[in-house]
Amino acid sequence: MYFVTTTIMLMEIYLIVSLALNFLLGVAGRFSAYEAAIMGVGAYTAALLAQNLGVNLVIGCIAGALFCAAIGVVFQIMTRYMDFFTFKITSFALQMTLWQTFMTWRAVTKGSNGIYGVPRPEILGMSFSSTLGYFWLTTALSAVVIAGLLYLERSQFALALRGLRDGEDALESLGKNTFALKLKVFALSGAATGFAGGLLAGLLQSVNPASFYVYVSIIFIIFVVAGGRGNLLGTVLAVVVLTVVQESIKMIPGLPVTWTGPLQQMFYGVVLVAVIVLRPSGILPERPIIRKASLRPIASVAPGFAFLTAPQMKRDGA
Amino acid sequence: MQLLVELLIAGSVAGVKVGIAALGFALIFFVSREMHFAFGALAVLGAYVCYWIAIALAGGGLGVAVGALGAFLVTALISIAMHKYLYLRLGSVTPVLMASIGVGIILENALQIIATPDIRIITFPSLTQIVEVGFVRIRALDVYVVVLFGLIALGLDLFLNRTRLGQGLGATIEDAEMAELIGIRTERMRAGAYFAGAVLGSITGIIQLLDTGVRPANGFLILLYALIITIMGRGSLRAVAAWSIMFGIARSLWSWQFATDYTELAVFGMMVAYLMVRDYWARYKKGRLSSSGTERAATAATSH
Repeated sequence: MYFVTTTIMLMEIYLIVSLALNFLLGVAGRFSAYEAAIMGVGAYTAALLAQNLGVNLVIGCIAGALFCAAIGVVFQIMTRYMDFFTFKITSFALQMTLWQTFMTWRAVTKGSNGIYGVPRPEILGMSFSSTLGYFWLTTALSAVVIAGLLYLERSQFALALRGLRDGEDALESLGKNTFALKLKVFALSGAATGFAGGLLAGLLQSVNPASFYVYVSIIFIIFVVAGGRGNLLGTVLAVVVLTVVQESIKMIPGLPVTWTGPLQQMFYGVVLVAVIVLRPSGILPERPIIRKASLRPIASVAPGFAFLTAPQMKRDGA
Repeated sequence: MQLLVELLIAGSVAGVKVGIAALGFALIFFVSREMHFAFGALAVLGAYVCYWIAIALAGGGLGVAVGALGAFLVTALISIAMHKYLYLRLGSVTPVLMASIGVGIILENALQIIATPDIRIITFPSLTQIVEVGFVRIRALDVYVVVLFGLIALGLDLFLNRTRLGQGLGATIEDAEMAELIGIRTERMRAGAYFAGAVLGSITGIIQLLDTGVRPANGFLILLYALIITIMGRGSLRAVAAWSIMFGIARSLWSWQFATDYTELAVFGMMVAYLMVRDYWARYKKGRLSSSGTERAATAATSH
């Protein structure tokens, strides 16, 4: 039971980060490879606030989300004039910079040992310190964030982001402020990722740099690419299926313990190559955005070419 | 003063070791415009192939030399096959990047399983002995590596600028479409770049094998440094060579004045800051030119 609830919580947390990354990578077309580090910033912020200042972990998650949103905005300002390749490499470099900060800023992050004993929250007298209690809290909070992101996927905002991806100049010519759009999507993605990091700190009750290495960022990219760039439901499917398979690898009978990690990673590598070669748009490709008309036609139209000869119908049924 | 000189030399040597890989990665990237993320894993694979062959031949200089040739062959074949059967099929930038990340992960972890995550090293007393040049003490291996880097950088430069084949390669770097139109077989140039890149990557791996030892996880750092220097180099192999030395010196000077724990952090921080300032400055200059007096006058003249 403990294994199942923990895996589901991990899945929910990874799902939030992957959906946030799909907003950046899939919907807005901004390739970034620092999600794990941003999740780390959220986790450290929430854990430090909860442990040192006695702040409720949920409030810590929100503080982490705000901080990560700020980092996303600053990163976009820094990379404003960079070309495609430079932007990618800078995002890798930011991942490494933040990870190195976790490792070396020992006074705050406790270095490679990490922070232990992060207290789980208590809300309105209800304690969520047990695994099952925290499971329900994480599920409820994740459901809110995931539902929000799925709603945003079909919004005007996401439509503008798709325009940003497919033709930035064209979008600008329509009068949209593309830089403001980029700032918004980086803030949104950073906030969701930071929030997930805070939840992870509560789940593990510890924060360790090993959870935020660049490899984890690549796993998030694999979730997005395998699920389908620009389709958030695809990401949901990919996270669930791939995490279940990844955990099943551990259960192969007779597998040496030292092989488990490498085999899991190889599995992700094979999935990435297979998806890119066999189904480049992912398991569930991006759906066309069909907007239903809110008004119905006033009078039904006669079939065929009758409208060419028939007298013009009067409006309003008059 | 002596300390400063020693630090400069140590930094240059460290930079040069990364620089050989950076030249290989940059050559592939500039010629094919493909981000070959499996480069680091292949460099490490080259080191392992060399190690296995050298051990099978009971070690010794000859064993390593034969091993190096085997490594060049294996990594070059894999690289060219990846380019021909995977990257060309995918076509555009992002899928190629993703696929190469995938292949890199598979290679690295296959090595972890086959060769275990432990360090593999081959030592020769003749390489680790200290050579004294004036007041500077340096290992023989480092001297050889610096000389090798110089030869590679110079050789590449002469090849690109002085030979017919090299000029074809240069033309492919400049504008592949135009090069194709005037009869240069750009596809062969790309395959050649992958071959040379794989060889340079393997050389870096083998240097690690003889120096500090190699393990499967080393590939990512080789790739990352090569990437950073390539992006700094902006399309010029000379700039890549120069940046790799500056990169090493910056690390060395940092560890002179500040805690060595923060070296990696400082290097990545400086790199992000440099790229940001460079692109903001380029934008500022562009903006200044477009709002220059000539353009204003031209606009005024045409608006009537």
